[in-house]
Amino acid sequence: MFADARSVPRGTNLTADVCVIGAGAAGITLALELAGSPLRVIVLESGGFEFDAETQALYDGRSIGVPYGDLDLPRLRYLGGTTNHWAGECRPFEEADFEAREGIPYTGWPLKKPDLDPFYARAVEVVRLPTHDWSLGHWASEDSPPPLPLRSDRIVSRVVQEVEPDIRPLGESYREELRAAPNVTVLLHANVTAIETDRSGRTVTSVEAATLGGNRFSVAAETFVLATGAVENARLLLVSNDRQPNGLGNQNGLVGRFFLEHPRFLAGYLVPSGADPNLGFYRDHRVDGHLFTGFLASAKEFQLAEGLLDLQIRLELDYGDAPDDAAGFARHLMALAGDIDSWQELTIPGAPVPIPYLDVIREALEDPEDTYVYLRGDIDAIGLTTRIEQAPNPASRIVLVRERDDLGMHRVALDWRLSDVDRRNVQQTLELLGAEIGRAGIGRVRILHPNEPGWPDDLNGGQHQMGTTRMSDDPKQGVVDRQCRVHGMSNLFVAGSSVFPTPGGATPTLMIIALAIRLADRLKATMAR
Amino acid sequence: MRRGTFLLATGGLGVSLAWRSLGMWPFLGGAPAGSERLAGLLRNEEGACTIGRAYLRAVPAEASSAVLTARVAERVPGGLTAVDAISDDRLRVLLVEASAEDFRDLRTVEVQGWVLARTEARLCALAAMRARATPA
Repeated sequence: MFADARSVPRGTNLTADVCVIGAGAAGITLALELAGSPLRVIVLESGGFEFDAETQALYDGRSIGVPYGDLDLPRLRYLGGTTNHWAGECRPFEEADFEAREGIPYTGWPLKKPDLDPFYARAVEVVRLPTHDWSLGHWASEDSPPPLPLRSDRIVSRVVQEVEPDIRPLGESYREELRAAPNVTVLLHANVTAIETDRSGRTVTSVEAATLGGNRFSVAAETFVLATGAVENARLLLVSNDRQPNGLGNQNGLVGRFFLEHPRFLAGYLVPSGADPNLGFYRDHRVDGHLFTGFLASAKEFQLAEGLLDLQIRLELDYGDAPDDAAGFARHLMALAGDIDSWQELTIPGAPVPIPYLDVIREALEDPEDTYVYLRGDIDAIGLTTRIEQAPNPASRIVLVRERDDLGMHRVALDWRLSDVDRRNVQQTLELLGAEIGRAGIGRVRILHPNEPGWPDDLNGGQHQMGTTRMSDDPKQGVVDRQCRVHGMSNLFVAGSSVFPTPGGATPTLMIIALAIRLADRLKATMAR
Repeated sequence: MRRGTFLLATGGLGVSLAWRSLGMWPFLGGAPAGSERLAGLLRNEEGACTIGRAYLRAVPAEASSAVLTARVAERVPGGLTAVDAISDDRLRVLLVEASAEDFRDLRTVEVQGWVLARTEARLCALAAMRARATPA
C-alpha cells in the first residue's frame, strides 16, 4: 500500500521488520520480492508519484574532479527513481567481468557469474524482457540487419536488449502490485536524514525521516536496506556519525571511495568505404517485435591479454546535412522532388502533383532526420562513442561538504577521477577496431585525440553512478560483504550499484535488480527463522 | 555538410577519397619502374600526398624513396623484381592482400589519428615524395 509521510503524526516511531530506504530499481525490486512474505516492510521514498523540483533539489551537489555535469542529472528522486528516465538497456555481466584483472588494482568481485545467474533470470522477468539470451546467434537473425562482417573475433558485435518504454519506469509499471501488497507500505515524501544505532554502533535501531514541510518521525526495524543510489547511499552512511565518527561502515575510510562511471565521449569516426554500410544492427530496432541494439566491443581475451577492462563502442550515424527541424526537412523534400524513386512510395499515386500520404507527413514532422535518411540513405561518417568500464580508483570519491540541503543534511561533492588505464583502454581498443575495420574493407577509423594526455571536452559520465560502497570479503577493501551487508554492522544492508566493485561494461540496472532479488531471498530466509 | 568538409571541420586530413581509393585499390595504369610505379598507382594523388606527408613527419626514418620502395616491395611476393614485372591487376591484388595482412597482424600506423595499414601509408609517402620532387 501507499501512504503519505506528510500525514504521519510528528514524532511517531513506526515499526517494521524490514525498512527499505529508497524506491528506485533496487528498492522496488526488494519490495516486490518481499511482498506476500510474513515480513512487515516499510519503504521510505523521498518523492511522490511525480517529479517535484524541490525534492529533486535535495540531490544538488558539486563536481570538484573531472568535469561531470550536474550531479543530480542522472538521478530522479521520486517513486521509481532513476528508472523514470531509464533508456531500458539491459545486458548481464559476463564471467570475465567478475574476475580480477592482472595489473589493474581493486578489480574483481567476490561473487562469480554462476552465483548470480539464477537472479539474472528472475531480473529478466521483472523488466519483462523476452529472453535470457543475449547471444549474437539469437539476435542477428535473418530478420535483422546483419552485424558488420568483421573477419576476426578480436572485435565483436554484442547486443543489449531494451526494456519496453512502458515498463521502464518501475514506479509506474509496478504501482498496482505495490498498492496491493498487504505487508508492504511505501511511504512517500519520506526523506531519511540519519541512521541511528545502538551504543555499540554496530546495530541500526532506527532511521530518522523528514518531509520538506517539516514533519519528522522515525522508523524502527529489525533490518535496514539502503537503496538510494551510489551517491546517496554513501552520503547517508557518512552523515550518520553519532556513534561512528567517520560514518557508518567507514572504519576503513572506504565509504564514498571508488566512485565509478561508464565514461563516454566521441572517441573517433568510422568513414565507410561505401555510401550505405548498412548499420541498422547498431541502431534501435526490433526482431520478432523485441527491441534491441547492437554495439562493438573488444573480445574478453584481448582485454585480458592487454590488461584492459571492458569498453563498448556505440555507432552513431552522422548524416551530414540532414535537417534538424521540420522547416529544414521541407526544404530538402523540395530539393528531392525530382527523385521519382523516392517519391513513389510516399505519395498518392495518380495525383497531378506529388501529394504525400498523411501518415508520411505526420512521421516527417515528428522525426525529420529519420525521414530524410530514408529518402537520401547516405552516411557521411559514423561516430564512435565509447562507454568505458572505469577502472576502480580510490581517489574517485563522494565527499561531504559544509553546505546543507533544506533538511539540514550535508550536501556532497563528487571528486571524479579517471586513470591511465581508462585512457589506454580507449586508445588500444580504437586501434584494434581500426585494424579490423580496415581488414574487412569496411572503411577506415580515425581516432580523435590520439595518444593525448587528459580527456576531451565532451567527456561525461554515462549516467551510471556506481561503486561508493563496494563489495569485498575484506573489510579493508570494501564496505559491504558478499551478502551486501555493511562490514561491522549486524543489520544494515546496501542494495544498488554502489556495491559494484568493478562496473563491467554492461548497463547496471539488470545487475541492480538481480542483486536486490538475491538480497530479498536472503532476508526472507534468514529473518523467517 | 558533406563527407569531405566534415573531415576538414574535424581537423582531419581532408582525404576521405584518398583512403577510399586505398581501401578499394583502384590503381591507375602505366608501368614506370620501382618507386615511380608504386607512387603513381594511387588515383587520388592529392589526398594520398596529404597522408604521405603526415606519415613522413611521423616516421622520418623512412623519408627516402629507396627505403619506402623496399619496404613496400618486401610485402609483395618476389620483391622489387615482381613489382617491376607483373601486371597492374596482379600488383593491385598483391598490395590489397598485403594491406589486409598488415591489418590482421596489427602492422598499422596512426597518421593524424587515422589507423592505416603500413603498406598503404608507405604508398602514400611515396606519392608525397614524388610530388615534392616534381616541379609545379
